[in-house]
Amino acid sequence: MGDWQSYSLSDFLLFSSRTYYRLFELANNAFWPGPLLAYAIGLLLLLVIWRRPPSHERITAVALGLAWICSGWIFVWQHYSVINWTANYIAPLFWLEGSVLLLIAVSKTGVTLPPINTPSTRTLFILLAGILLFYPLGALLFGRSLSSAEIYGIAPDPTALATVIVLLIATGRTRWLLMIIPAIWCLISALTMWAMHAQ
Amino acid sequence: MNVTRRSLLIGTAAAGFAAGFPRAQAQSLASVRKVIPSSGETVPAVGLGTWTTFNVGNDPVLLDESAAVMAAFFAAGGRMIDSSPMYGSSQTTIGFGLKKQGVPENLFSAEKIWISDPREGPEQIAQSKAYWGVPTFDLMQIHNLVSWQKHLETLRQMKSDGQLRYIGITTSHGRRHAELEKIMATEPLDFVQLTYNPVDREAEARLLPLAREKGIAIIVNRPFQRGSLLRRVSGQSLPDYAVEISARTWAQLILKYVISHPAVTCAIPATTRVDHVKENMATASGSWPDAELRARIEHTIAAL
Repeated sequence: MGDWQSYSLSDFLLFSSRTYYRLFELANNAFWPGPLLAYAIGLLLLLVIWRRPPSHERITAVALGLAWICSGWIFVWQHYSVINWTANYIAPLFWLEGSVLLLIAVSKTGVTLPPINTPSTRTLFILLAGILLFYPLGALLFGRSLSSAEIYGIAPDPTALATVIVLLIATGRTRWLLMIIPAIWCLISALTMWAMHAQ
Repeated sequence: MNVTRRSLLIGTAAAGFAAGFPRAQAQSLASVRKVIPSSGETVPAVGLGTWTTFNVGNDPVLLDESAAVMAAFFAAGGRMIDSSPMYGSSQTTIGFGLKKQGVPENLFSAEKIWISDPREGPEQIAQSKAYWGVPTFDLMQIHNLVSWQKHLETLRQMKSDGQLRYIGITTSHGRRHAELEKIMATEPLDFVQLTYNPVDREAEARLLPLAREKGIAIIVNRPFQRGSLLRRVSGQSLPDYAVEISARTWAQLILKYVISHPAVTCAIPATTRVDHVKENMATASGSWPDAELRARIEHTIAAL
Protein backbone atom coordinates (compact mmCIF):
# COMPACT_ATOMS: atom_id res chain seq x y z
CA MET A 1 0.00 0.00 0.00
CA GLY A 2 1.40 3.41 -0.93
CA ASP A 3 2.02 5.92 1.83
CA TRP A 4 -0.71 8.28 0.70
CA GLN A 5 -3.29 5.52 0.51
CA SER A 6 -2.67 4.72 4.14
CA TYR A 7 -3.76 8.19 5.28
CA SER A 8 -7.30 8.99 6.29
CA LEU A 9 -8.72 12.49 6.30
CA SER A 10 -8.64 12.67 10.09
CA ASP A 11 -4.88 12.03 10.03
CA PHE A 12 -4.47 15.55 8.69
CA LEU A 13 -6.57 17.11 11.40
CA LEU A 14 -4.33 18.88 13.89
CA PHE A 15 -6.98 19.72 16.48
CA SER A 16 -10.07 18.37 18.18
CA SER A 17 -13.61 19.58 17.58
CA ARG A 18 -13.84 21.00 21.11
CA THR A 19 -10.83 23.24 20.41
CA TYR A 20 -12.19 24.26 17.01
CA TYR A 21 -15.63 25.31 18.26
CA ARG A 22 -14.14 27.08 21.27
CA LEU A 23 -12.37 29.37 18.77
CA PHE A 24 -15.70 30.95 17.82
CA GLU A 25 -16.41 31.76 21.45
CA LEU A 26 -12.95 33.26 21.87
CA ALA A 27 -13.26 35.30 18.67
CA ASN A 28 -16.72 36.58 19.61
CA ASN A 29 -15.57 37.52 23.10
CA ALA A 30 -12.40 39.19 21.83
CA PHE A 31 -14.32 41.48 19.50
CA TRP A 32 -17.48 42.01 21.47
CA PRO A 33 -19.76 43.82 20.58
CA GLY A 34 -18.37 43.24 17.08
CA PRO A 35 -20.52 40.13 16.58
CA LEU A 36 -23.66 42.22 17.10
CA LEU A 37 -22.46 44.72 14.51
CA ALA A 38 -21.58 41.91 12.11
CA TYR A 39 -25.04 40.39 12.55
CA ALA A 40 -26.59 43.81 11.86
CA ILE A 41 -24.52 44.15 8.68
CA GLY A 42 -25.85 40.76 7.62
CA LEU A 43 -29.39 42.02 8.12
CA LEU A 44 -28.56 45.16 6.15
CA LEU A 45 -27.19 43.01 3.33
CA LEU A 46 -30.47 41.12 3.16
CA LEU A 47 -32.48 44.32 3.16
CA VAL A 48 -30.34 45.90 0.44
CA ILE A 49 -30.60 42.90 -1.86
CA TRP A 50 -34.38 42.74 -1.35
CA ARG A 51 -35.21 46.45 -1.54
CA ARG A 52 -32.58 47.46 -4.14
CA PRO A 53 -31.95 51.03 -2.96
CA PRO A 54 -29.64 53.28 -5.05
CA SER A 55 -26.08 51.89 -5.08
CA HIS A 56 -27.36 48.54 -3.81
CA GLU A 57 -24.73 46.64 -5.81
CA ARG A 58 -21.95 48.79 -4.41
CA ILE A 59 -23.27 48.39 -0.85
CA THR A 60 -23.55 44.64 -1.32
CA ALA A 61 -19.95 44.39 -2.56
CA VAL A 62 -18.74 46.50 0.38
CA ALA A 63 -20.69 44.37 2.89
CA LEU A 64 -19.25 41.18 1.41
CA GLY A 65 -15.73 42.57 1.05
CA LEU A 66 -15.57 43.79 4.64
CA ALA A 67 -16.93 40.48 5.88
CA TRP A 68 -14.10 38.58 4.15
CA ILE A 69 -11.42 40.92 5.43
CA CYS A 70 -12.79 40.87 8.99
CA SER A 71 -13.37 37.12 9.03
CA GLY A 72 -9.89 36.54 7.61
CA TRP A 73 -8.36 38.75 10.26
CA ILE A 74 -10.43 37.95 13.33
CA PHE A 75 -11.00 34.24 12.93
CA VAL A 76 -8.56 32.78 10.42
CA TRP A 77 -5.47 34.83 11.24
CA GLN A 78 -5.86 35.63 14.90
CA HIS A 79 -7.49 32.45 16.15
CA TYR A 80 -7.52 29.59 13.68
CA SER A 81 -3.86 29.92 12.70
CA VAL A 82 -2.83 29.27 16.31
CA ILE A 83 -4.07 25.69 16.13
CA ASN A 84 -3.73 25.13 12.40
CA TRP A 85 -0.58 26.43 10.72
CA THR A 86 -2.13 26.04 7.26
CA ALA A 87 -4.46 28.91 8.18
CA ASN A 88 -1.47 31.23 7.76
CA TYR A 89 -1.79 30.54 4.05
CA ILE A 90 -5.58 30.69 4.04
CA ALA A 91 -5.93 34.14 5.63
CA PRO A 92 -4.35 35.95 2.65
CA LEU A 93 -6.93 34.31 0.40
CA PHE A 94 -9.66 35.83 2.56
CA TRP A 95 -8.05 39.25 2.29
CA LEU A 96 -7.67 38.82 -1.48
CA GLU A 97 -11.35 37.98 -1.84
CA GLY A 98 -12.32 40.93 0.36
CA SER A 99 -10.05 43.33 -1.50
CA VAL A 100 -11.39 42.29 -4.90
CA LEU A 101 -14.96 42.76 -3.67
CA LEU A 102 -14.09 46.23 -2.38
CA LEU A 103 -12.43 47.03 -5.70
CA ILE A 104 -15.60 46.00 -7.46
CA ALA A 105 -17.54 48.28 -5.13
CA VAL A 106 -15.29 51.18 -6.07
CA SER A 107 -15.11 50.43 -9.78
CA LYS A 108 -18.82 49.64 -9.94
CA THR A 109 -18.25 46.93 -12.51
CA GLY A 110 -18.42 43.20 -12.69
CA VAL A 111 -21.37 42.06 -10.64
CA THR A 112 -25.00 42.89 -11.30
CA LEU A 113 -27.78 42.01 -8.88
CA PRO A 114 -31.16 41.33 -10.49
CA PRO A 115 -34.47 41.86 -8.63
CA ILE A 116 -35.61 39.00 -6.41
CA ASN A 117 -38.62 38.12 -8.49
CA THR A 118 -38.05 34.71 -9.99
CA PRO A 119 -38.40 31.28 -8.36
CA SER A 120 -34.64 30.75 -8.43
CA THR A 121 -33.71 34.17 -7.00
CA ARG A 122 -36.42 33.84 -4.35
CA THR A 123 -35.12 30.42 -3.34
CA LEU A 124 -31.57 31.72 -3.17
CA PHE A 125 -32.73 34.73 -1.16
CA ILE A 126 -34.46 32.47 1.37
CA LEU A 127 -31.24 30.46 1.66
CA LEU A 128 -29.29 33.68 2.16
CA ALA A 129 -31.71 34.78 4.88
CA GLY A 130 -31.26 31.40 6.53
CA ILE A 131 -27.49 31.78 6.56
CA LEU A 132 -27.46 35.36 7.79
CA LEU A 133 -30.27 35.08 10.34
CA PHE A 134 -30.25 31.52 11.60
CA TYR A 135 -26.77 30.07 11.02
CA PRO A 136 -25.57 31.46 14.39
CA LEU A 137 -28.31 29.47 16.12
CA GLY A 138 -26.66 26.28 14.89
CA ALA A 139 -24.44 26.52 17.98
CA LEU A 140 -27.49 25.86 20.16
CA LEU A 141 -28.62 23.05 17.89
CA PHE A 142 -25.33 21.24 18.41
CA GLY A 143 -25.26 21.70 22.15
CA ARG A 144 -22.97 24.70 22.29
CA SER A 145 -23.65 28.03 23.88
CA LEU A 146 -24.75 31.05 21.87
CA SER A 147 -21.45 32.69 22.75
CA SER A 148 -19.84 30.31 20.22
CA ALA A 149 -22.30 31.32 17.48
CA GLU A 150 -20.86 31.44 13.97
CA ILE A 151 -21.77 34.85 12.64
CA TYR A 152 -21.39 36.24 9.14
CA GLY A 153 -18.39 38.57 8.97
CA ILE A 154 -16.54 36.80 11.79
CA ALA A 155 -16.92 33.08 11.18
CA PRO A 156 -15.71 31.91 7.76
CA ASP A 157 -18.46 29.39 6.98
CA PRO A 158 -21.47 31.77 6.97
CA THR A 159 -19.31 34.40 5.25
CA ALA A 160 -18.38 32.02 2.44
CA LEU A 161 -21.84 30.51 2.12
CA ALA A 162 -23.52 33.94 2.02
CA THR A 163 -21.05 35.08 -0.62
CA VAL A 164 -21.65 32.04 -2.79
CA ILE A 165 -25.42 32.57 -2.60
CA VAL A 166 -25.18 36.30 -3.43
CA LEU A 167 -22.95 35.47 -6.38
CA LEU A 168 -25.43 32.85 -7.56
CA ILE A 169 -28.15 35.49 -7.44
CA ALA A 170 -25.91 37.92 -9.33
CA THR A 171 -25.22 37.97 -13.04
CA GLY A 172 -22.02 38.65 -14.96
CA ARG A 173 -18.90 36.63 -15.64
CA THR A 174 -16.89 38.13 -12.78
CA ARG A 175 -19.04 36.34 -10.25
CA TRP A 176 -17.55 33.00 -11.23
CA LEU A 177 -14.05 34.26 -10.52
CA LEU A 178 -15.25 35.69 -7.23
CA MET A 179 -16.69 32.33 -6.33
CA ILE A 180 -13.36 30.47 -6.47
CA ILE A 181 -12.07 31.38 -3.00
CA PRO A 182 -15.45 30.94 -1.24
CA ALA A 183 -15.83 27.56 -2.95
CA ILE A 184 -12.32 26.54 -1.88
CA TRP A 185 -13.10 27.51 1.71
CA CYS A 186 -16.42 25.65 1.64
CA LEU A 187 -14.57 22.55 0.47
CA ILE A 188 -11.87 22.92 3.15
CA SER A 189 -14.50 23.48 5.81
CA ALA A 190 -16.61 20.53 4.69
CA LEU A 191 -13.55 18.26 4.80
CA THR A 192 -12.64 19.61 8.23
CA MET A 193 -16.14 18.90 9.55
CA TRP A 194 -16.03 15.45 8.02
CA ALA A 195 -12.68 14.69 9.64
CA MET A 196 -13.74 16.10 13.02
CA HIS A 197 -16.91 14.07 13.14
CA ALA A 198 -15.12 10.96 11.89
CA GLN A 199 -12.98 11.01 15.03
CA MET B 1 5.33 -15.16 43.05
CA ASN B 2 5.49 -11.55 44.02
CA VAL B 3 7.53 -9.36 41.73
CA THR B 4 9.70 -6.74 43.29
CA ARG B 5 10.66 -3.51 41.60
CA ARG B 6 14.21 -4.79 41.23
CA SER B 7 13.20 -8.03 39.58
CA LEU B 8 10.83 -6.14 37.33
CA LEU B 9 13.61 -3.96 36.00
CA ILE B 10 15.90 -6.89 35.53
CA GLY B 11 13.16 -8.82 33.81
CA THR B 12 12.45 -5.97 31.48
CA ALA B 13 16.03 -5.37 30.57
CA ALA B 14 17.20 -8.90 30.21
CA ALA B 15 14.57 -11.51 29.62
CA GLY B 16 11.98 -9.23 28.15
CA PHE B 17 8.79 -8.01 29.59
CA ALA B 18 6.25 -10.57 28.54
CA ALA B 19 8.55 -13.47 29.10
CA GLY B 20 9.62 -12.19 32.50
CA PHE B 21 6.22 -11.67 34.05
CA PRO B 22 3.67 -14.40 34.09
CA ARG B 23 0.13 -13.14 34.07
CA ALA B 24 -2.10 -13.02 37.08
CA GLN B 25 0.73 -12.20 39.39
CA ALA B 26 0.11 -9.56 41.99
CA GLN B 27 2.22 -6.44 42.11
CA SER B 28 2.21 -3.47 44.38
CA LEU B 29 4.21 -1.21 42.11
CA ALA B 30 2.95 2.29 41.54
CA SER B 31 4.38 2.30 38.06
CA VAL B 32 6.42 0.01 35.91
CA ARG B 33 9.65 1.33 34.52
CA LYS B 34 11.43 0.11 31.48
CA VAL B 35 15.04 0.34 30.50
CA ILE B 36 16.51 2.55 27.80
CA PRO B 37 19.03 0.10 26.34
CA SER B 38 21.63 2.66 25.28
CA SER B 39 22.05 4.06 28.79
CA GLY B 40 20.45 1.75 31.29
CA GLU B 41 18.26 4.60 32.52
CA THR B 42 14.69 3.64 33.29
CA VAL B 43 11.47 5.43 32.39
CA PRO B 44 7.86 4.70 33.31
CA ALA B 45 6.26 2.57 30.63
CA VAL B 46 3.38 5.00 30.13
CA GLY B 47 4.10 8.49 28.86
CA LEU B 48 1.97 11.32 27.56
CA GLY B 49 1.44 12.16 23.91
CA THR B 50 0.21 15.58 22.81
CA TRP B 51 -0.87 15.14 19.17
CA THR B 52 -4.21 16.95 18.73
CA THR B 53 -5.07 16.94 22.42
CA PHE B 54 -2.70 19.72 23.49
CA ASN B 55 -3.22 21.86 20.39
CA VAL B 56 -5.56 24.26 22.17
CA GLY B 57 -4.16 27.60 21.05
CA ASN B 58 -4.52 30.47 23.49
CA ASP B 59 -7.75 29.19 24.97
CA PRO B 60 -7.38 29.83 28.73
CA VAL B 61 -9.94 27.18 29.68
CA LEU B 62 -8.39 24.46 27.56
CA LEU B 63 -4.87 25.47 28.60
CA ASP B 64 -5.87 24.97 32.24
CA GLU B 65 -7.42 21.62 31.39
CA SER B 66 -4.21 20.54 29.65
CA ALA B 67 -2.14 21.69 32.62
CA ALA B 68 -4.39 19.60 34.88
CA VAL B 69 -3.75 16.56 32.67
CA MET B 70 -0.01 17.16 32.98
CA ALA B 71 -0.27 17.59 36.75
CA ALA B 72 -2.20 14.32 37.06
CA PHE B 73 0.34 12.62 34.83
CA PHE B 74 3.28 13.70 36.95
CA ALA B 75 1.40 12.98 40.17
CA ALA B 76 0.90 9.41 38.98
CA GLY B 77 4.62 9.03 38.40
CA GLY B 78 4.73 9.91 34.69
CA ARG B 79 7.90 11.27 33.14
CA MET B 80 7.91 11.25 29.34
CA ILE B 81 6.00 13.90 27.45
CA ASP B 82 6.28 13.86 23.67
CA SER B 83 5.53 16.62 21.21
CA SER B 84 6.52 18.08 17.85
CA PRO B 85 6.63 21.44 16.06
CA MET B 86 4.07 19.86 13.75
CA TYR B 87 1.49 19.64 16.55
CA GLY B 88 0.17 23.20 16.33
CA SER B 89 0.30 24.90 19.73
CA SER B 90 1.04 21.71 21.69
CA GLN B 91 4.54 22.86 22.56
CA THR B 92 3.35 26.13 24.08
CA THR B 93 0.64 24.24 25.95
CA ILE B 94 3.32 22.04 27.51
CA GLY B 95 5.25 25.20 28.35
CA PHE B 96 2.13 26.61 30.01
CA GLY B 97 1.67 23.45 32.08
CA LEU B 98 5.32 23.32 33.11
CA LYS B 99 5.33 26.97 34.07
CA LYS B 100 2.13 26.61 36.06
CA GLN B 101 3.35 23.74 38.21
CA GLY B 102 7.10 24.03 37.81
CA VAL B 103 9.28 21.74 35.76
CA PRO B 104 9.46 18.37 37.54
CA GLU B 105 13.02 17.25 38.18
CA ASN B 106 12.40 13.91 36.55
CA LEU B 107 10.68 15.25 33.42
CA PHE B 108 11.71 13.31 30.34
CA SER B 109 11.21 15.75 27.49
CA ALA B 110 10.82 14.13 24.09
CA GLU B 111 10.65 16.45 21.10
CA LYS B 112 10.99 16.27 17.36
CA ILE B 113 12.69 18.10 14.58
CA TRP B 114 10.30 18.66 11.70
CA ILE B 115 11.66 20.87 8.97
CA SER B 116 12.78 20.01 5.47
CA ASP B 117 15.77 22.37 5.37
CA PRO B 118 18.41 20.84 7.65
CA ARG B 119 20.11 24.23 8.12
CA GLU B 120 17.03 25.42 9.98
CA GLY B 121 17.05 22.44 12.35
CA PRO B 122 19.02 24.03 15.21
CA GLU B 123 16.83 27.13 15.09
CA GLN B 124 13.71 25.02 15.29
CA ILE B 125 15.08 23.10 18.26
CA ALA B 126 15.91 26.38 20.01
CA GLN B 127 12.37 27.59 19.37
CA SER B 128 10.95 24.35 20.75
CA LYS B 129 13.03 24.73 23.92
CA ALA B 130 11.71 28.26 24.34
CA TYR B 131 8.13 27.02 23.94
CA TRP B 132 8.63 24.32 26.55
CA GLY B 133 10.68 26.59 28.81
CA VAL B 134 13.39 23.99 29.30
CA PRO B 135 17.16 24.41 28.84
CA THR B 136 17.64 21.12 27.01
CA PHE B 137 15.64 18.20 25.71
CA ASP B 138 16.22 14.67 26.86
CA LEU B 139 15.30 13.20 23.52
CA MET B 140 15.21 14.76 20.07
CA GLN B 141 13.65 12.71 17.30
CA ILE B 142 13.53 13.25 13.56
CA HIS B 143 9.84 13.51 12.76
CA ASN B 144 8.60 11.09 10.12
CA LEU B 145 12.08 10.67 8.62
CA VAL B 146 12.02 14.24 7.22
CA SER B 147 15.51 15.05 5.85
CA TRP B 148 16.80 12.45 8.26
CA GLN B 149 20.37 12.12 6.98
CA LYS B 150 21.32 15.75 7.59
CA HIS B 151 19.24 16.11 10.74
CA LEU B 152 20.91 13.05 12.18
CA GLU B 153 24.32 14.69 11.73
CA THR B 154 23.05 17.75 13.58
CA LEU B 155 21.56 15.68 16.40
CA ARG B 156 24.70 13.59 16.81
CA GLN B 157 26.75 16.73 17.12
CA MET B 158 24.33 18.18 19.67
CA LYS B 159 24.41 14.95 21.65
CA SER B 160 28.18 14.89 21.71
CA ASP B 161 28.14 18.52 22.81
CA GLY B 162 25.85 17.59 25.71
CA GLN B 163 22.88 19.50 24.35
CA LEU B 164 20.78 16.34 24.06
CA ARG B 165 20.80 13.07 25.97
CA TYR B 166 19.23 10.84 23.37
CA ILE B 167 18.47 10.93 19.66
CA GLY B 168 15.85 9.08 17.70
CA ILE B 169 13.65 8.92 14.66
CA THR B 170 9.90 8.54 14.28
CA THR B 171 7.26 7.20 11.99
CA SER B 172 3.58 6.46 12.47
CA HIS B 173 0.68 4.56 10.95
CA GLY B 174 3.04 1.79 9.87
CA ARG B 175 4.56 3.90 7.11
CA ARG B 176 8.06 3.73 5.64
CA HIS B 177 9.02 0.73 7.72
CA ALA B 178 11.46 -0.56 5.11
CA GLU B 179 13.42 2.68 5.16
CA LEU B 180 13.22 2.85 8.94
CA GLU B 181 14.58 -0.68 9.18
CA LYS B 182 17.61 0.29 7.09
CA ILE B 183 18.22 3.31 9.31
CA MET B 184 17.90 1.23 12.47
CA ALA B 185 20.30 -1.34 11.07
CA THR B 186 22.96 1.14 10.04
CA GLU B 187 22.71 4.24 12.23
CA PRO B 188 23.34 4.49 15.96
CA LEU B 189 20.02 5.50 17.51
CA ASP B 190 18.81 5.61 21.09
CA PHE B 191 15.10 5.67 20.28
CA VAL B 192 12.66 4.84 17.52
CA GLN B 193 9.02 5.89 17.68
CA LEU B 194 6.41 3.94 15.79
CA THR B 195 2.79 2.84 15.83
CA TYR B 196 1.92 -0.37 17.59
CA ASN B 197 -1.27 -1.77 19.10
CA PRO B 198 -3.27 -5.01 18.94
CA VAL B 199 -4.52 -4.08 15.48
CA ASP B 200 -1.50 -2.32 13.97
CA ARG B 201 1.15 -4.99 14.41
CA GLU B 202 3.38 -4.50 11.36
CA ALA B 203 6.28 -3.52 13.60
CA GLU B 204 6.30 -6.97 15.20
CA ALA B 205 7.72 -8.60 12.11
CA ARG B 206 11.04 -6.82 11.80
CA LEU B 207 11.32 -3.50 13.59
CA LEU B 208 10.68 -4.60 17.16
CA PRO B 209 13.04 -7.60 16.94
CA LEU B 210 15.64 -5.34 15.30
CA ALA B 211 15.24 -2.80 18.10
CA ARG B 212 16.00 -5.49 20.68
CA GLU B 213 18.96 -6.71 18.69
CA LYS B 214 20.41 -3.22 18.24
CA GLY B 215 19.54 -1.95 21.72
CA ILE B 216 17.15 0.74 20.55
CA ALA B 217 14.36 1.93 22.85
CA ILE B 218 10.88 1.96 21.33
CA ILE B 219 8.25 4.62 21.94
CA VAL B 220 4.79 3.60 20.79
CA ASN B 221 2.50 6.25 19.36
CA ARG B 222 -1.18 5.80 18.54
CA PRO B 223 -1.70 2.93 21.02
CA PHE B 224 -5.44 3.57 20.70
CA GLN B 225 -5.34 4.54 17.00
CA ARG B 226 -6.15 8.10 18.02
CA GLY B 227 -9.21 6.87 19.88
CA SER B 228 -10.72 4.86 17.06
CA LEU B 229 -9.66 1.57 18.64
CA LEU B 230 -11.48 2.54 21.83
CA ARG B 231 -14.56 3.53 19.83
CA ARG B 232 -14.40 0.14 18.11
CA VAL B 233 -14.57 -1.71 21.42
CA SER B 234 -16.91 0.77 23.07
CA GLY B 235 -20.02 -0.91 24.47
CA GLN B 236 -18.45 -4.36 24.26
CA SER B 237 -17.97 -6.34 27.45
CA LEU B 238 -14.42 -6.60 28.64
CA PRO B 239 -13.27 -10.22 28.18
CA ASP B 240 -13.23 -12.34 31.32
CA TYR B 241 -9.49 -12.85 31.14
CA ALA B 242 -8.92 -9.09 31.62
CA VAL B 243 -9.29 -9.61 35.36
CA GLU B 244 -6.25 -11.90 35.33
CA ILE B 245 -4.05 -8.93 34.49
CA SER B 246 -6.01 -6.36 36.51
CA ALA B 247 -7.25 -4.53 33.40
CA ARG B 248 -10.46 -2.80 34.39
CA THR B 249 -11.08 -1.05 31.08
CA TRP B 250 -10.44 -1.61 27.40
CA ALA B 251 -7.88 1.20 27.46
CA GLN B 252 -5.93 -0.57 30.18
CA LEU B 253 -6.15 -3.90 28.37
CA ILE B 254 -4.81 -2.38 25.17
CA LEU B 255 -2.06 -0.45 26.94
CA LYS B 256 -1.00 -3.56 28.84
CA TYR B 257 -0.81 -5.37 25.53
CA VAL B 258 1.36 -2.63 24.00
CA ILE B 259 3.82 -2.14 26.81
CA SER B 260 4.15 -5.83 27.60
CA HIS B 261 5.97 -6.34 24.33
CA PRO B 262 9.59 -6.87 25.37
CA ALA B 263 10.92 -4.37 22.83
CA VAL B 264 8.59 -1.56 23.84
CA THR B 265 9.97 1.01 26.25
CA CYS B 266 7.11 3.46 26.56
CA ALA B 267 3.67 4.07 25.11
CA ILE B 268 2.47 7.65 24.77
CA PRO B 269 -1.34 7.82 24.75
CA ALA B 270 -2.72 11.33 24.39
CA THR B 271 -5.74 12.59 26.26
CA THR B 272 -7.57 15.74 27.23
CA ARG B 273 -8.99 14.27 30.42
CA VAL B 274 -7.58 13.85 33.88
CA ASP B 275 -9.59 10.68 34.53
CA HIS B 276 -8.19 9.16 31.36
CA VAL B 277 -4.60 9.99 32.22
CA LYS B 278 -5.13 8.42 35.66
CA GLU B 279 -6.63 5.36 33.99
CA ASN B 280 -3.69 5.14 31.60
CA MET B 281 -1.15 5.52 34.37
CA ALA B 282 -2.89 2.88 36.45
CA THR B 283 -2.21 0.48 33.59
CA ALA B 284 1.41 0.33 34.61
CA SER B 285 0.54 -1.52 37.77
CA GLY B 286 -0.86 -4.98 38.32
CA SER B 287 0.18 -7.95 36.25
CA TRP B 288 0.94 -8.36 32.57
CA PRO B 289 -0.19 -10.53 29.70
CA ASP B 290 2.06 -13.37 28.67
CA ALA B 291 2.39 -14.47 25.04
CA GLU B 292 -0.75 -16.61 25.21
CA LEU B 293 -2.83 -13.84 26.69
CA ARG B 294 -1.45 -11.33 24.20
CA ALA B 295 -2.64 -13.58 21.41
CA ARG B 296 -6.09 -13.74 22.99
CA ILE B 297 -6.22 -9.95 23.18
CA GLU B 298 -5.35 -9.73 19.50
CA HIS B 299 -8.05 -12.22 18.55
CA THR B 300 -10.67 -10.62 20.79
CA ILE B 301 -10.17 -7.15 19.34
CA ALA B 302 -9.84 -8.39 15.77
CA ALA B 303 -13.22 -10.07 16.12
CA LEU B 304 -14.97 -6.87 17.21
